Order: sequence, then structure tokens, then C-alpha cells
Amino acid sequence: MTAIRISGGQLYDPANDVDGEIRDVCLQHGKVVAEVGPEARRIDARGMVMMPGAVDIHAHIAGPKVNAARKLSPDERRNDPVDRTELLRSGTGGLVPSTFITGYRYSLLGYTTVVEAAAPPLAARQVLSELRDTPMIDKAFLILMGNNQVLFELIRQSGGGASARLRAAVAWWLHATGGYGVKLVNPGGVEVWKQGGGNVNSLDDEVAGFRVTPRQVLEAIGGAVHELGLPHPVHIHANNLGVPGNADTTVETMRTLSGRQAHFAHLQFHCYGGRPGGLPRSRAPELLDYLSSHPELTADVGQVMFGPAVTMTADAPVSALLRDLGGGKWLNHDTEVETGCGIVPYTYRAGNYVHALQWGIGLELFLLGQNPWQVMLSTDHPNGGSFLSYPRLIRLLMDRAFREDQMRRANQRAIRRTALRDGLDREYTLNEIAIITRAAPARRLGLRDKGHLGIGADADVTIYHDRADREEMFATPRYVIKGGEVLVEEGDLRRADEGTLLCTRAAFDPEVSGVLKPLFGERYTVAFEHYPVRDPALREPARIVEAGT
Amino acid sequence: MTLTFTLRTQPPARVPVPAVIPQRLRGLGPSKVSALTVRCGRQVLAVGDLFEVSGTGDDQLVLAGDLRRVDAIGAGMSGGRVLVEGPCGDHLGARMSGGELEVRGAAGAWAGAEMAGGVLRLTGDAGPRLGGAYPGARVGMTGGEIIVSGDAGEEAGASMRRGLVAVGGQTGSGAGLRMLAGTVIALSGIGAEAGIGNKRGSLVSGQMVQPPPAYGFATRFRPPALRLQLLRARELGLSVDDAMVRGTWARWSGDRTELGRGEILIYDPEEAG
Amino acid sequence: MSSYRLGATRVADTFAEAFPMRFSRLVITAATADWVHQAASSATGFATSVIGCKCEAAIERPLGAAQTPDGRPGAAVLLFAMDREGVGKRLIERVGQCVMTCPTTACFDGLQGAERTVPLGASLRYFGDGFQASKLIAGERFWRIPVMEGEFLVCDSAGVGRGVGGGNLIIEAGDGDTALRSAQAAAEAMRGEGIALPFPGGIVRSGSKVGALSSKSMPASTNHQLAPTLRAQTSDTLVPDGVGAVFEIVIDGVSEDAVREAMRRGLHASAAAGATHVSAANFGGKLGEFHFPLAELRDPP
Repeated sequence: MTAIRISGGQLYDPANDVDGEIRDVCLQHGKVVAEVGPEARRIDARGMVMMPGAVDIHAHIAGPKVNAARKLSPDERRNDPVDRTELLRSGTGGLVPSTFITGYRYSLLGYTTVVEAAAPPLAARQVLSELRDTPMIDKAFLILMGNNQVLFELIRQSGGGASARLRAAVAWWLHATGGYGVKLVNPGGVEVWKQGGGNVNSLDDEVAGFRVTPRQVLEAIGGAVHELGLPHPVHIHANNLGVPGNADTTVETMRTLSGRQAHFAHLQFHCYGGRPGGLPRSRAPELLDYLSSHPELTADVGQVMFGPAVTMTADAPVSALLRDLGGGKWLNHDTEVETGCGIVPYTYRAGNYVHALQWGIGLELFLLGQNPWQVMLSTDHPNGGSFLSYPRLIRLLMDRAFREDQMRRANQRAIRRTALRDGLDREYTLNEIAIITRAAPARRLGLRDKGHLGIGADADVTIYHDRADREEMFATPRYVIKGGEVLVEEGDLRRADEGTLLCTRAAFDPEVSGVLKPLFGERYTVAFEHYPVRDPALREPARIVEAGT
Repeated sequence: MTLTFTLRTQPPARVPVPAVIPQRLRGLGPSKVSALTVRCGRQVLAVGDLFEVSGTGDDQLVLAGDLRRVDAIGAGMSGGRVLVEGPCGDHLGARMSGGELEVRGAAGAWAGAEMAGGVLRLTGDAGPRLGGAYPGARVGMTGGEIIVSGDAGEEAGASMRRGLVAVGGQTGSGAGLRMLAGTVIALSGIGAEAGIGNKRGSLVSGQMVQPPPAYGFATRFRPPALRLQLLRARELGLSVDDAMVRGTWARWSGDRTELGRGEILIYDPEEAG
Repeated sequence: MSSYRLGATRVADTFAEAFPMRFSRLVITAATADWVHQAASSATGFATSVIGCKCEAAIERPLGAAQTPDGRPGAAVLLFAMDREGVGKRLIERVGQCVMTCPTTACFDGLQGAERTVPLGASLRYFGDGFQASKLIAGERFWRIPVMEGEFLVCDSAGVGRGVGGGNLIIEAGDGDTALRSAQAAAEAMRGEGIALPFPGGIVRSGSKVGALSSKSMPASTNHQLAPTLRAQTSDTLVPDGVGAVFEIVIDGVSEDAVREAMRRGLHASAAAGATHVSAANFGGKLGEFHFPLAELRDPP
């Protein structure tokens, strides 16, 4: 591992208040260091832009639903075959690339860390297997806990609040699976759907057979994650996704968690006005107001991009609605005891009122928000569009003329109902882009060595040509360095790298096994003893980020 | 001007040759063409290892030999003419969008799959999924014309949206499976389970056949559009009996479990008089 | 007026004046030649002059089974109007009322490859009330409209070309029988590819002039200058001495050449059949884009 000196580039390192200064960045032994010797490889970055490696806080890249989506759309992948080379494995691209290609393409885009945002804990083996086969990037996964019958039982026993037993159970699950954090998807609603009862409509609808409500699940699990001090707070896909008028539910969810740290996923899908069954309107400004007075809350946007997408979600009832809109092939799955899953290939059309409104609301969240540290970039890959569309999204944020040109192609009735038409002239700066794609997600994930380039940080650096066309600039980094190794040069992958699995560890009372075992026996098809992932090849190596620090 | 490819020896494994189409070889001489590479299993071979190449590439290519291990001949071609002297492998003319592809011999599976335009002619038999859709695709053939003088295998014209598949012999079971529209003609009969899931396509059987249960008998008549299509098939080299062109056909509508706007037309010579 | 002689026929040194028009050609087929004739005559009926009928149409020529797209007997018809929209509207009316309604017919575009088209089946298909179906055959779209007999097959659109309307010959002879015989011989000779003679039998006996002497509101009235019975009553008669009857043949063609050659055939045929005088009508040359001087038609076809 040679030392590297990147010299003469403009550095954007918002976590360390460096905004475009001409600096040298020195890398050695996988870390950013103050100085390197004269033997160090020198990368001339004059006229270029240096940023920390990008961090995706919310994407779907591994696990049974991703794999099912691959199987569901062979037609889509067949058109994008990737041949093997001396260095790289073969695979297929498309909206849901195969594992290796996912890693390669994220790396080619300057990403060095990606979080799989919704893994059924029961499928941790498959998630880990796939993440081990997703090279070039560091990766972590969040486990689904919002519709787990065993946890429902514990919540009911504790009278609807957090308890030491529940805390221990959450910690045990992370331990058993290798997960990095906790995800709640439509808490309570998926279980109701699985029972054939539709969905929950409010936070206080009771889940039949368990006598718990979404609000209790939010408080109990959110509270437990908060108290455990996990590096990443509870990650929430709120109830009523996509339903007109759901902004009320979202604000109510935020209120329920107030005072506790929480991250709201793909907020764009959760800030609609209007009435259920009617046409949605935008209530993004209201949600942003709420966020700005609650610094303990963050969100990623979940921007939709016009064109093809694949919706994949643990929110199985939402999938059923989407399927009815399109009428094409779909998949809906009951993951026993724990969660559900739905997959629907989908196309966002500029001329469609709802799609154009969703597009506009996403941009409102980016452009009206005052604090980029709170509102991060995502397309909820591949739900709102592929991660490959990030460069275009960045251009939409940085280039007003381009944005307005795109606006003109969209459904005008929808665009008129957003703030985009009201002379919204904000253009993101490179520094702000560095915040929403690096510094903020890394900070929110509790990854102290990532998302910045201070001394001691991971040597993850992306170097771009400073081009006027920001889409082109961000689509083809000049260099991507991860862990001090140059992975991408001149737009080509130059080195294969396995990437590192990121896990967390929270202490728990081992006695919790005694509580969980009988509950498992009553419900799971898998014996309690066989549930935890023990295969060392899956679990190690990993970088552990301790909880409570 | 013609570029001729004569197979030297049987390749050790299946070889797809999608690069051997007029639009990619235009203006190249035999030496340049011979240096192009193709994949054969894990190996990469030069075209010249497999074929003796002569002539110059212009709009017409000729491939000769026992090409049953050579796949994707003419696949993706958009113009010009490809003539194959001998039997060929799978994916013949798949996704072609124009030009003329003629095979004096038989073809394997997926001939003309997801074809969008042009003419594909086979003097021999075609394998399964002639003019079909690849797995996962909702739409197969979207245009063009396929003429097969022999028989066709299972699921000919599956998921077709537009175009013509005309077979002089019989089609195997499941012709026009999940067809959206377009026409599949089998002069010697369309085989079992034809037209299951058909939305608005036409299946044409020159022999008596029992339509699936979700089809309902409508009438016997002389279908003017079919007359035109049969004449077109004849113009493209299919031998079509005059009696069929002039004759009376029974129309069955279906698949009623789908849109139900498709049809199966069955030749009914008793009524022709 | 100066003139030249063609045998015994005196040919006036004047010219026919014609106008640019748009036209379509349809090929109508049916089970028998008789049904073809029924459909084609009906579709080209009441289409003598664009002023009174909004279009001018005629059977161009009958077609044998080998010459039609579906291998049945057929006929080509030509329809002319002042612009493309006009052609489109008239086609839809006439095919809808006279071809679709006629037993066993099918209707094809006879002007494939034209740069401009008008919708035909694309509009008529709505008669199918949602039961219509389309087929793309050899690159051309057709509509199958279910009707009581079975199906009516009609092309999706029809090509529109730039043609010439209003070419004419005026044929005169000493008596009515000879004049009519000459005019018939001319019409017979003129019919052919690219030519429509929109009047009954191709012949007009009531040529008109613009306006009227007796009224300001009449757009047109009898051509009194060529009415033999008024010869002694009017000072501006143009009926030559010895002429007892006058006929006009109006010619619409797909090109200037087609019209000119048709006029040449008509001129020589009428001369051979006994016309004493042949002339042509014009408006002084200021209105029409195309002029066909009879002097240029002296050489036989």
C-alpha cells in the first residue's frame, strides 16, 4: 500500500469546514495523514475537485427482495450484460445490477460506502452473502423490526413502551444478524396486510391479535435504539407511504419520536397533502419547517427520476397499490413473523400528474430546506430511480437552467402546485453537495472515519474534473480512492477490492435468550438455536462500530 | 459485393456471432473480418479461426456450412441481406430490425425472437419460440415478417405485439401464447393449446383444430385481411393454396379470460363452395 | 382567331387553363366486377365540379384481379379537391357511404409512398364502435371494421398528391349527333392512367360562364356564347358558322403531363370522329397556373 499525495485540488470537506480551498491530501495505511514522504505517489489534482468518498445512507442492494427483483426482470438485465475481464467479474447491469456490478458501478460513481436499508433479519445469511459479493464499497445493512410478531409480543408485555427486555432483544437481533441498525417500515401496517386486513391508517390503529399500535412500536423500538446508543438512530419508513394526506401521519410520527434521534427515509413519499383517494398536493414546506426546529431528526429525500424504476419495499400493502396502477408483473411475499415484501417494476412519467408532483416535491425538499445536514441525497435506489441517476439529480440541484428545462417537460398542473415555479433560484454549491452526499450521511450513520478528510479519516477520496456540466462531472470521477488504494482512474476500474462490512455491537443481557426462545418456538419455522448467523466467512472480517460511544 | 463465411471446422462449443451482420462489416475486407473476435464458451476465438472468409463486406453476407453450433446469426441486423446455406443454431435473427435474412436449412430455438422489422425466411424447420419473447419480457416480436416453409416448434409467436409469422407446416403446442396482437399462420395446423392468453392477436390454422375452451365460435366467413396476409406470405415465398386464399374460415374469438379480442381462424373447405 | 387544321378539323389557336388541385387514388375491390362498378360509380357520383360538389371524381380505370392488392377485381378511382383537407373529408364521406356500404368491397390506398396522407380508415374505424381491429400487412396499416356481411377492410390512410384540375377541350360539329360522337370518341381516348373525367360519360353539354348577365348574385350561368340556339339573339356568339352543337370535356389529371397527353389524345380522336372545330376554355390566362395551348397538341399521340 503506497502512500499517496493528492496535490493542488480544491478540497470540499464540509465536516472540517473546508470549502473549496486548494489543499494537499496525504494518504497512508488507509488513512488520511498529515504528511507523506517524497516516495509517495503523487496525484496532480490541479483544476480538480476533491471530496470524501460518497456515502449512500439509503439504498437497496442486497437481500432476498433485491434478488427477487433480479429474477422478476430478466428482460431488463439482459440488455445490459457486463463481460468479465482480467480484473473484474461478469454480471448484469440494469436497474437492479447483480452484486459485483453493483459494487463496480457505485465505485465508478465515486461512492465508497453504501447502506442496504431494509433487510429481513431472517434473511441475514443471504444479505451477508450478497454484501460479501458486492465489491469495492464498504457496506452495512439495517434490519427490519417494525412488524415482528415476537417484538410485538414484548411491546405488548411492556405496556407499549421501551423496556430493558426490549432493549436487550433489539441488541440481540443486531448481534444475531450482523446488522448495523434498525429499520421500521410501516410499523404495524405490514402485519395487518399479511392478515388480510388492508393496512393501518393512523398511528393508533390496533394490529389485530397483538393489541399494539404503530405509535407504540415507534416509541418502543425508537426508544430502545435511542437508549442503546446505536451509531445510527432508528431509520423510519413511516406509515401511509404514498397516500395523499400522509403528511399528517409523518408529522405525527416525528412528534411521537420527539426528543429521540431518528432518520426518516425517502421523505418525499411522505409529505403529501390532499385526501386519501384524491390527488396529492405538496406539503413539503411544512415538513421542512418541522425538521428545522427538531435537529434530532434527519431525512433522506427519495427523489424520483423520470424513467424506469423498480419499486421494492417491505411495505407490502403499498406494493399492492402500485401493482393496481400498472397492471404488470409483480411479487408480494410474506416473510414469516417478521415482515413482508413487494416488488413492482414501475416507470415515472414526466407527463403524469402524480409522478411530476413527486419529482417536484423531492426538489422542494432539497431546495427549500435550510439545513443540508438534515436532508440528504437519495433516490431510494431503485425505487425512485437507479443510483446511476445521482449525477443527474446533482445537476438538477446545481444548475437552475437545466432544472427549469426539465420542469417544462413535466406535467404543468403538478409543477404549478409546487414551489418550483415561484422563482426558486437556489443552486447547490459543491460544498452543499459534499454535505448531502458525504458528510451528513456519514455523520448520521455514526461513521466517524467517513464522510470527511481530516487527519485519521479513512482514505476514501473522490476526485472530479471541475466541469460546467455537473451531471457529466459527477458521473465520471477522475479518481476514486478507497482505503488508500486507487480503485478508479480515468473512468476505469483499476483495482478490485472486497470492501468492508460495517457492523455494530451493543451490550445486552444474555438472559434475553430465555425470553425469546419460547416466543420463537411458538412462531418461527426456524429454531432459535439456528437463527443467529454464525458462519465466520459471512461475519468476518468486519469493522465494528461500538454502540453507546 | 458479397462477403462469404465458410465454416472450417465444428467449433468446440456454441458460438454466438452477433457481430456478423452487414451494418458492422460494411467496407471491411476478409483479413479485418477474420481478425474480429467471438466468444466460444470461455474462449475468445478469431472469426478467421472458425470461418474461411472471402469477398468484401458490403450489403450481402453468405454463411455456409453445418452451422448448428453457431448462434445469433443475423441477430440485431438492421439492413442488408444475409444468406445462410445450411442449418443454423439458436437466436437466428433475434431482435433484427430490418433487412433480409434467408436460411436454406433449419434453425434452432428463438429464431426471430423479439424481432422488430425486416424479413426472416427459413426453408427448413424452426425450433421453439420462433418469433417469441425472451424470459421476463412482456412483449416479443414487434414487427417484421417470418416465413418458415417447414414446421415450427413450441410457442411460436409467443407474446407477439405486431408482425407476421407464417409457417407452411405445423406449429408446436402453445402457438401465440400470451399474444398481444399480430398474426401467426400455420398452413398445416396450429397445434394444441394455441392462443392461450391471447389479447388481440390472430392465429390462423389451415387444418381443423379444436380451439382452447376460452374461445367461442363466431361465424364462417371470408376474412379480407387474411386474404391479404396469405397473398403477402406467398409473395415472400411461402406456398399457399389458392383455395385457402379464396376460401371460407371459421372465426373463434378469445382468449375470453383475457381481453377476448383475439381470434383463431380455421380453414373450413366444406363451406368454401 | 387564327387556327390550324387537323384533317378537316379546325383547331383554334387558344389554350386550356387549369389549376393546381390535390388528389387521392383509391383502389376499390369486390367479389365481382359488377360490385366493383357499383361501389366505384357510387363513390364517384355527384362529383362533377368542385364548385357544386366540393370535389371532382371519376373511375380512372378498371383493374383485373392480378392488378389489385387482394387479387380480386377492382377499379382505381381518382378524387380531386382544392386542398388536402378537402380531399380527406370527401374521401371519408364517400368511402363511408358508398364503399363500406356496398357488399363484398375492400378499399386500398392507390397512392402509396405519397409524402402527404389523409386519414381514411383511421377515421372510419370508429364506425366499428370499439370492435374494429387493425392489421399491419407488409408495412401498411389496415382497419377491419365488423359489418353485417362480415368485415370491411380499409386502408388506414390515403396518399395525397399534387394534380391538375380543369384541363378541357371544346368539341364542335355541324349537328348534335356528330358532335356527340366526336366528344365520345375523345372521352374514350382520354381515359387512362392518371386521368379523371368527372362529368357523366366524361362529357359536359352545359358549359358555364362565370357570373350572369341577368343577375349579380348568380355565381355561374349558361355559356351563352357557345349556345347554338342563341346565335341569332346575341352579339358576342362564339359558335362558328356551320356548327350545330358544342360539347366540353373537363380533364383532371395527376400531373401536367398527364393532362396534356390526354388532351392530345382527345383532340386527335375527336378530329378523326368528325368534329369540325376544336377549341378550349380559359379565363384569359390570369387565373390558372397551367396553360395547355392547343397548338402544342398538333402531333398525334
